[in-house]
Amino acid sequence: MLQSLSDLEIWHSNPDPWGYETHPDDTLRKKILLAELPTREYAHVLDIGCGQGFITPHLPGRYISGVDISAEAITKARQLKDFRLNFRQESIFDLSLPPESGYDLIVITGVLYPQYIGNAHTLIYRIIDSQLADDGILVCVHIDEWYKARFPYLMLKEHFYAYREHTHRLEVYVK
Amino acid sequence: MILMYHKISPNAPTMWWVDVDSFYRQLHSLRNRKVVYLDDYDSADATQVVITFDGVYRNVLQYAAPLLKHFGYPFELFVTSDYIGKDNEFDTPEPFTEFASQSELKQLINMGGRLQWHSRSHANLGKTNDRELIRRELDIPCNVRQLDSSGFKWFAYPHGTFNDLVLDCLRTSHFIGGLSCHQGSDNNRLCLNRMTVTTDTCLSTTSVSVVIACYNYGIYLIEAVESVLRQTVAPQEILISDDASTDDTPIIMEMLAKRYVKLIRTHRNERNLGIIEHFNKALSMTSGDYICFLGADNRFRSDYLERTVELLDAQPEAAIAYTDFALFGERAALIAADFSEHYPVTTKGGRFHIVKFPEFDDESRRTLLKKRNFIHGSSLFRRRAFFEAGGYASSTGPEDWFLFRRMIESGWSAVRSPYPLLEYRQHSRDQANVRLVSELALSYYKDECKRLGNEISRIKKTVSWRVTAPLRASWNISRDTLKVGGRALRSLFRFKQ
Repeated sequence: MLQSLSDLEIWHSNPDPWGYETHPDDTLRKKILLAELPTREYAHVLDIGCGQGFITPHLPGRYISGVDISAEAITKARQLKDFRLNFRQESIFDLSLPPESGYDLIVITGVLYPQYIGNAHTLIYRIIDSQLADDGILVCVHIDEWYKARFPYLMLKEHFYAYREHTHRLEVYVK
Repeated sequence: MILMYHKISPNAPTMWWVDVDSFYRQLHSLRNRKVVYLDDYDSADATQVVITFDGVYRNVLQYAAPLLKHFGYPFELFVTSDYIGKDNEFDTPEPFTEFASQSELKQLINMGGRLQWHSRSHANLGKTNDRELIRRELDIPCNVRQLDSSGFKWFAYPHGTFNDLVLDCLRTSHFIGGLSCHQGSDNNRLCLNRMTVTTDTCLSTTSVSVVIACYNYGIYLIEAVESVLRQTVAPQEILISDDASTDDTPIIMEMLAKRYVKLIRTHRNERNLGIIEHFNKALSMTSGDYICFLGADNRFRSDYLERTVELLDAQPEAAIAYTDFALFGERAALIAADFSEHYPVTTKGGRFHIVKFPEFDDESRRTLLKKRNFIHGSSLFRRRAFFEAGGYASSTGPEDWFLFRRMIESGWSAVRSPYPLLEYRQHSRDQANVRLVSELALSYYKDECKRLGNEISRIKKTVSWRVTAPLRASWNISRDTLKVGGRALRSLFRFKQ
């Protein structure tokens, strides 16, 4: 079954529970993600699984929304003071309506794992499609061993790099 | 056919649950059937389908309704009123879940659902002789009935069971029909049968085989296979066919076949046969009604099969479903310029050149037969049409064009999916993105080494000081397998230098 929300809340009751801020591999993966974003003007950006805001404030864009299923994580993320940022507690299965034009960029990091989404890839594809603007960019970053998704978009880039004891897969799609 | 579902969820812990991806595939299989409400159902019409849910559980709103809406299907919701807004704690050993509330039932109605009746308390009516009890169970409370003015004309027997008295009560009630799941009859409107759908239920009437043909493209092979494995609608079989490659293809394809035992088979020609003989031989080793070939250096977009299968299902006169394609790689711009002489070409994301091919009509048919090909070699085609045309054969032009021409000349039609569903690599052997591909291969090798390492640890634990001969043999086999993996890894590192 899916990991319970209460379990995630326990994790996020601690600041930076997975040590992202201090682990060199996480510093590197953030740099790689930002470097691989196609260079263009982004108006509306959505960071799904933003946690406590490890990536969110570094993303380009005029309006950046960070969502996470954990209320504890969102409370901590809201301590980041940046007028561009807006954090909401939402599940990927239950995202609120996108801006009228859709998001130009959606980033999904460490969310599409069996313990969070089970065998519900096809529904996730539909949900993301309803949020992403035409020609919008979708970036997915996950531990390769646990990741089985492939969005029905053209894949601009795909990179693999060592991350802790695993391999990370970074995908950049264009809708 | 009337389908019976209960719970739709990301995971399926018991037979009463269907996972979301399986549900999606089942709905896709109904694309060319008529999905109707019960009021419009004619059991004699084999093309008609009714989708029903018993309960009704909250997860139907969260996970099933968005997909039903996506496909545009109506659906029936059989409500047990005592459970509305409550949970299934009483239903051991079923995992805990909640029933929909009244407001959630309203949302379901707005998404295409229609409420029907499944009794007040879900009492088993099959053994009762108490007419009053039966009437009470058939009576719909006003506050529930007012939720859906179009519904509540059909009754689903709790536990699927009934007796003559229950049938008699139903006949004299306002209900126009009843549903069972094992005790009914297709001809009796008072007790129509339903099919219990589980995660493993396959509703598709056609099967698909994908052949991934490889000749010295081992370095790309994993990427091609992965693009098939991660299709939104999976094929029934994948055959990796190696035309006597001299690179790492045999190691890679065996690794993949071991990992996906139920789906992937492999074949290797002892000598290089060339495209025509190789493709004909590979196809003879498959069994799908629909076939497509994927070059080991190309990729399918993940909705390739979903979109092409539904076209062939819908158009029995069409032998081929072809698509637009997206060129990528070092030479993509060069090749795209050639295509732009005849077809619109657009760019996407600064990397892809999308070639839009014409719809299949009289004019494009003439073009195909007399001038040039616009049906790419990775199109989905019917096995029957392939054999009628005599398979791949030699000609002065490309073998796939010759095959498709012969199919069309013999009276078959073709149909286009207007999406770039094939990612078509344009490259030379030395191009830079080869290094990128090797990263994916490396990731697979790492996983394989980890798996073999675990296997060796497991075997080591079972080896005592007095090792028996069979155990010693298996230990040696595993060591040898690891050596093969190590050799492959070393070859990759050489490649990366």
